[in-house]
Amino acid sequence: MSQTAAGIAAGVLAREIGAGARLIRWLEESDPRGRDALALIYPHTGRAHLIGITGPPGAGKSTLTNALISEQRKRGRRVGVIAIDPSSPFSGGAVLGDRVRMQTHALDTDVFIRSMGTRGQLGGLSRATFDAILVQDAMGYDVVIVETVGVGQDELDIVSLAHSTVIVSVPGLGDEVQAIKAGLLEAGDLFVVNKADREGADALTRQLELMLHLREQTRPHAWKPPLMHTTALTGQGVAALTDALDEHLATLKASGAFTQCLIARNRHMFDSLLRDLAAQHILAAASAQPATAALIHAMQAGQIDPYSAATQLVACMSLQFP
Amino acid sequence: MTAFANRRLRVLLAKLGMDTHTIGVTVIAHALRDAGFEVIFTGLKQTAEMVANTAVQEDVDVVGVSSLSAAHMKHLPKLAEFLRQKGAGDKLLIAGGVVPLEDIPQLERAGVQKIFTMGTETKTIVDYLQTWWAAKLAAEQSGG
Amino acid sequence: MAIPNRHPDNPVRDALTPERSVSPLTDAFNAWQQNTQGPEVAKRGERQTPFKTQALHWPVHPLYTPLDLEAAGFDYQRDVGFPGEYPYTRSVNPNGNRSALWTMAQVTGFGRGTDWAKRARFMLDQGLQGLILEHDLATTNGYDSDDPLAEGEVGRAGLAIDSLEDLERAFDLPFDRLKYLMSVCNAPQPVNLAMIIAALEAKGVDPKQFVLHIVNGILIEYTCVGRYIYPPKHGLRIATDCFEYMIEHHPNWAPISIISAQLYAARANPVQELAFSLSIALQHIDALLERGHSIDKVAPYFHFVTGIDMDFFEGICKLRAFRKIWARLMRERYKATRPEAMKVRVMSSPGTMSLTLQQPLNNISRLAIMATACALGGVGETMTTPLHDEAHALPADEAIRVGAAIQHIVAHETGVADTIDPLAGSYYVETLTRQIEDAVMTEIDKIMAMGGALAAIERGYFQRELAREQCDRNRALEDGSRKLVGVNHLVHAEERREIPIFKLADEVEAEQIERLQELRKRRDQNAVDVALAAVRDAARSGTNLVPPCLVAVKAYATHGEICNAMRDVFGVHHPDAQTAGV
Repeated sequence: MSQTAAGIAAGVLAREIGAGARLIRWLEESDPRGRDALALIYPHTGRAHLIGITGPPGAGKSTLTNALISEQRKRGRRVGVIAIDPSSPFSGGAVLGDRVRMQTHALDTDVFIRSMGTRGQLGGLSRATFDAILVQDAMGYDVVIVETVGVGQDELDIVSLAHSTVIVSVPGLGDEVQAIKAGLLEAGDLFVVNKADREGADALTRQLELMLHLREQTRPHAWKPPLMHTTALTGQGVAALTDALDEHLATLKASGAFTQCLIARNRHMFDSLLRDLAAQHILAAASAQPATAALIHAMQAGQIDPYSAATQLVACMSLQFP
Repeated sequence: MTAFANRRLRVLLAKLGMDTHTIGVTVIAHALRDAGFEVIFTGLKQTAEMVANTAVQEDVDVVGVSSLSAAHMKHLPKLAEFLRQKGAGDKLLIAGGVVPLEDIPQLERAGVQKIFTMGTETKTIVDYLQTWWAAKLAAEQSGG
Repeated sequence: MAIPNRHPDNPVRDALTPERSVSPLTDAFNAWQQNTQGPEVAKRGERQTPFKTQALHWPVHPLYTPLDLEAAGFDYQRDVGFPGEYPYTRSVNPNGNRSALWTMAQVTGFGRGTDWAKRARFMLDQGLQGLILEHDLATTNGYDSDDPLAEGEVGRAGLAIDSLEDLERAFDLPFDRLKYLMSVCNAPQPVNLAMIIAALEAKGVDPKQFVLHIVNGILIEYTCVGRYIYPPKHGLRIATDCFEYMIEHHPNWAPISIISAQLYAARANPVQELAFSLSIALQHIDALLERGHSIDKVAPYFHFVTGIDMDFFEGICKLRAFRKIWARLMRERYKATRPEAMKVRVMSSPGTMSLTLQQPLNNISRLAIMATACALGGVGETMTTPLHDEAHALPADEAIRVGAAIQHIVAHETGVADTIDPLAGSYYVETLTRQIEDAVMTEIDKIMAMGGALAAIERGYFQRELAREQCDRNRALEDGSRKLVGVNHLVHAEERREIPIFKLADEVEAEQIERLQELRKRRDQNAVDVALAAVRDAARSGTNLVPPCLVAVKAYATHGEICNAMRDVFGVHHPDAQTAGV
């Protein structure tokens, strides 16, 4: 496998999983070759149906994702999956175990599952995820599923900017509905009560119906989010969920919202990159500025507060801020 | 150094065949996570080909197999072969668990690069991987 | 009932008669600490700060006195009582081991039926009366020997069973010398049970002449070790079917065992071990009560396999607390009235988790210490000894001989089994027993609040707790705060293998597969198909699974085929990393 940007990009377009996996790694690790390869594959993106799946731990997201893979494969579609698990805030390491439930597809060459740790860089997770989605998209996967716990702004961004956002809840976790955060409720396109054979499923359904009703009253949406029931373990309800996802996709395409999603995602990426670049430039300029050391020294000696110090430094660098 | 700021060692931990004892793999997974590595776990009852495919999809640097049954002589050479076939022969293949000393040379010839026998301390494994990783990064830097 | 008072000067009396004032003792204790012990500690320090119990990490005081018992509100009659009487803390047997010693058993299983029979005969010749039959991993996990996943495993970790023919070969045994046979095969239980019943029938053995004991406490497999097939709730249903079938057709057999020892081998501390295994037992009991059985009928059948690791006092107190907690749960929670329902049936054995690969001969001394602790804690019905070379490979003949001898040495040479519960009344032992009891009851309440063991398993609670203990214990070994000779203490520079290693002949697997495939050709395939359809029907409809499995094994449907028929209906259990504990 050629390790140049062009070589990897060619591999991605030839749908080689090894090349796709390597490019995702480069992008995740800010390897400069990643950027170059991404530019080469970018014209081939924008086709995949991006499905975000989120819900509290224990809701059965991985099992549901696994069942969705099976159903999409039955319908002849190639499936990419990005499974996100939290990294340790202490070591930055992670144990990524979502794919354990999806290993039945490990021998299917038309399924590409990639696990990702949150790694804790500000804004980095949503960028790395969107990059990975672009790679799978360029590899011709018809459907790309992103599975995440949905905690934190980055993860909220990821699922909100998917074409179809599936919110999974499950009876028996205690405060089920409270676990769906306000932002997620707003972002949800499809709501799923998983493990619907369990006690408490009816009560949960009624609570969700009420919440969706209130949502409609406060802010009517063009798409009325369906409330579905699945037992992902046995696959029950998963065909109906896939039908609903297909219907949602058709609606998005008919209204032009499909493309809007990609535009919004690009804008999000652009903003996030700009923030990073700006910060990099300012930090580099600051470290070259002789006043920096003096200001830090003064701050440590308690002679100046951090607000005044930062403002003074920016003034020294003759940068304009409103 | 900045070129590698975001780099993180990725390790696939696998259990092959019928061997369902998870204590070893649990302890190792936690130790590697605490060392800052990203660990991907395959779950149980995997075939060699499933593990090789997973290693490719996850683009891991290291494939580690925990073996507490007697089938290591069948599974490990097969896994090494699948990795080579799938263009992933550059990944470091290591194993740990109940492996009699007399089996080690044959496994090494088959492509298992390091075998940690029962009772190896996790820090020995972490140190080994850190040294290997540092060498790999250094080689990449000087090579590219 | 009067308190035995043979030694009026014995301070134990203070503990046993709480009405006597102890305040002078408090003064005396304080004076001892200040004037006698204090200066010694000040001068020489202590070799460890603080001292803690091995597994629970509870503080260990320098001295236990009647004051500790008083503080715990210890009441001899209520807390300890008499052997064979509620709450059974001292023994469930009215005469302890004085009428008969425990049954001495040993695990065996490897190779083909003929290999197993030969080894089993050898073991009976060593004076063992009970056998524990281990199947290989393919069989235990519900696969035939020619399944791709089974490669390299056939006959390795236990006996390979593909069809009734294999078990018939294995049962070429002198059944008149066998008192007890335990089958460890768990997840494919209705198939396993059917095979054993059919093989005994074929051999013309009267099922009443010995006790067949099936493990069947399937829920434990989901917490650790992982030899499950179907999702937990179906596992529970299967176990309940087998239990019902056995108490109806073979009431002298033992239809369930909760292998609590599996938990402590997975590093559960004694409190977790008891709380997890007992709450699992309660879940199995509830499933039986739901089918209309009474607690007094089913409870006496419950059996546990536990044991003692190197944490000597924790282990002894665990066994004592175990008996009492079971009695309390049966009486207080289920309102059992029959004494048999309240007497816990236990097999205990030395643990394997402290046996080391390094310096394997040291394991013989560990086994002797642990077996002594088992005897002191009141073994139960049976004891089995693991073998000092287990960590290396399948046991060699010599290890089996030594393992059997250890039990005989403890039983006949030490005298520890000659009086009942000899450590009772020890201030330390009674204090620790009570602490364990209280902590276990609290943990059981916590599990019940989650909805019971099944819900806790589905949520991964047990698995995560065990994973934490595993990592903690490993850390303690690595940082040296826990010493293990040969591993992190007294390590020899050069390790030499000192024991002979048993090697299984390589042709076993090929031969087993060949025989299986040859069987598939010559049997009546139509009868097999009909029988398998009946298994599926029973799985679907909820009728008892054992009868259709019995028909299927007699038609020579294979082990894996019957398990697959149930897979078709129940699905397969795939835990994620959380619920696997990783």
